[in-house]
Amino acid sequence: MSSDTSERGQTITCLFQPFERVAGGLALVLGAVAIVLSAALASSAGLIHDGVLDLHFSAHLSFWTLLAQGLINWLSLSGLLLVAGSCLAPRSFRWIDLLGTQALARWPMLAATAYLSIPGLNTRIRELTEELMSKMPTDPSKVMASSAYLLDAMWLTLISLPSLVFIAWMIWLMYHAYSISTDMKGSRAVFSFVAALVLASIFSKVLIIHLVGSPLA
Amino acid sequence: MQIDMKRTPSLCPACDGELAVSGLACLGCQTRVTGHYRLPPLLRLKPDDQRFIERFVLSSGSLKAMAKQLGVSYPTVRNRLNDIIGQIQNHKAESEGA
Repeated sequence: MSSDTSERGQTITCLFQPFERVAGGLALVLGAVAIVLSAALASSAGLIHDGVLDLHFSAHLSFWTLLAQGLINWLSLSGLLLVAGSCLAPRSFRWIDLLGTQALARWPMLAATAYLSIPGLNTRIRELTEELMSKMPTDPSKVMASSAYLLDAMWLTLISLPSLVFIAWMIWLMYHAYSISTDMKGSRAVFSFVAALVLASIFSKVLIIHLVGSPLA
Repeated sequence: MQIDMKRTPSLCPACDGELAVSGLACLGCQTRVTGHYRLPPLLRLKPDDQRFIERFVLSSGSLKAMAKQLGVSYPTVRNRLNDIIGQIQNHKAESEGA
């Protein structure tokens, strides 16, 4: 029974607190692999990562464009967290731990990209989205869509749910990576992380639009 | 079967107050010395933290080597050390304030 508890504890650590075991150069290499694979998969499935937390359908972009988006997303947040950590952390920390763990924290984005790349599912979500968008009322007085499409909207939400779970998981991992790399805990860590995440989301979008372009479908 | 060495208690089991040494005996001639001697900050750490410091010294102060030995990441070891540094600083401040 105690070995069961220990195994469960190890699984929880691997899933939600992996940076207690992996950081530094190894995390950087694994994270870089996840970013490259995400770019390759997104390129082949017609998805884009046009922001730190964004994953959308788009026209098929080149692998290099997607890789540039992935690197901008990773470096935008890491850069702002480095600044926040340097100002607020109780003691100095290694930048490679922060950069490496932030890169590896993005691996759920690879899982979300893989999920949305499943051929039948990918097509179905695209069709449902386009169908719902085309049937949105054009008359400004009719702000609500017809209840006839409520079922489609609910179905779309349901099949998109796993990708939202992956994004939420990625946010948790990013926070955990920041907290463990800078040795910050409590409200100081939470507020500085949220501020950096909001700023990085804006900053990355602006950078991607200006440097890479993001033609949404 | 391995029997752990008895650890030096640092907190009172009744009220959690700080314990001090009030008697020492020579193991050779049994001479006894009584007085009031405060435990040094390192002895007031929890046994786990004392073991951590012992490992730290035995690995020549290399956090990388310790992380490898313990199977955890570098920042995990460094954060634990930071925590112990904080405890020692608090103990020293208490001692100087008393």
